[in-house]
Amino acid sequence: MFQAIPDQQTLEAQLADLIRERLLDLPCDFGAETNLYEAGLDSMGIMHLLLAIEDRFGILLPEADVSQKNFCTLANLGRLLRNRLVAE
Amino acid sequence: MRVIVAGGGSAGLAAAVAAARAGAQTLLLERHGSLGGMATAALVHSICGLYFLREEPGALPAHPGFPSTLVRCLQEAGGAGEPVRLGRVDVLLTRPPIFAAVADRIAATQPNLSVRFHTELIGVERCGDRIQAVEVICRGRRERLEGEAFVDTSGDATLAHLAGVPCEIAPKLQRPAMIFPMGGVKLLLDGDERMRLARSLISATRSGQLPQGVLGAHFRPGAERGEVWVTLDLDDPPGGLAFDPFCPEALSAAERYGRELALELAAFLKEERSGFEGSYIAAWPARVGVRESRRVVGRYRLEEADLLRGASFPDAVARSTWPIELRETTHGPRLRFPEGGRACDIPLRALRPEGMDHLFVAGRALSASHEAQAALRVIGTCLATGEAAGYAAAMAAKGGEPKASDIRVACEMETNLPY
Repeated sequence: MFQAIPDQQTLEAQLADLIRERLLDLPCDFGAETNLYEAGLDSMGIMHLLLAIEDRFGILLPEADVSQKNFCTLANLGRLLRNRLVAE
Repeated sequence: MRVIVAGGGSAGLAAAVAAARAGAQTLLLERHGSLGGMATAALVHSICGLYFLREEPGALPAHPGFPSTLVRCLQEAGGAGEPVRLGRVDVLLTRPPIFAAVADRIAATQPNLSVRFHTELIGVERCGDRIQAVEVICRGRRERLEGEAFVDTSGDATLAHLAGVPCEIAPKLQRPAMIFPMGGVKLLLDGDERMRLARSLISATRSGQLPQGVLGAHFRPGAERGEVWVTLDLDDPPGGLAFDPFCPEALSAAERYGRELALELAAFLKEERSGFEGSYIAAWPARVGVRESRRVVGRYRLEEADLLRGASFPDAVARSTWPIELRETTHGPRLRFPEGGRACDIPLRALRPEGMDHLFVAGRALSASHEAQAALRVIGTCLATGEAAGYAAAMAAKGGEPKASDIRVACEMETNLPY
């Protein structure tokens, strides 16, 4: 069945929930442009995050997309994920 | 009067030095051939929990006494550099071989302290509420050692358990880890490269090239040229025994499984990843690193809520500054930070089992819930609780009632003493 791709804002909220549930407590007012690394994400959490995103959205982000810049905010990560979802 | 400290990891080293400085004849018992415990035998090469949590740049030491002294000695000996910030926390990266040598040197400067390596605790002689002696063994030679006060820094509450003190263990323990250095890596292992490595391991497990177990791997650049450290959080071996820190068969399975996964991972990196062509596994740890095991039930049990609100206690003797870092899956930590980054006091009661006035438990086996232990278990905090337990034991051995305020003063006075 066709499933609509969530808009950017929804994706950001879903990513925030996923991170809260699996990796890290984020404050409830955590913004889309706030730095995730400063909130406590570090390279130890990346494997966890990649697998969690795959689990939730069915997308394994390709190696070329995996970078600190792309993962540093919910906005960047949401955009990356949305582009992938659209492409697929 | 004599203080016996069982276990020469970071907590035991701190406890033994403190007890000796306080004037007690002190005997430190260690099952391996070096001090440092997880920091040497398991090759844990970063000390966590040494600094306050804060947003401002720069690391601020959280423990005035022995932990700060040890950091200075490590830095002077080339065993550590300056602290680095990873995410929200500051950690001190260390060189395990130098840690062991520095620990030897520090212990040797204490005239009241003698260290016995290759000594395993096998029994406790108790009379009422008092421990009179411990029985130890070295390669079949048994010995009975009397003491007036005892510190359990075994990490597994071994002495407390043998003394019949109530202990607890979580049904689901934090995962153990196999830690090893690789040499011959010609690659700058920056943040992006570490992320790409993680991603490449996922692909390799999907294609069947690597077993699922390698997804527990995390990489960190080493201090030496061409050196990379791998921390491999271990799941249970497929079809094998579940991890159990008291079952030799399960421990053996974990050690074998860790080495097997590490070999497969190293072969993959050498074959597939640019920069790893000439790489090799440079050393094995003496044992798998254990994060959680038996915990003593003390006069106060630290809870998750205490850690998250940064609780204060009138009988504080140390503090915890590390987030709750649960490692229940092998794929990375789940972190919970305290409100406002506040430190949590560790009360003397959390180091004291009920009804035993001459026994103190420090390090990862102190009295705490499974969740609280996930913050308290780190080496920086073990050093701080160990030091407090050492002073407390010396006071108890002299026949006095250990007072938290006196212990705090002793820890402050310890700061910057020459070694």
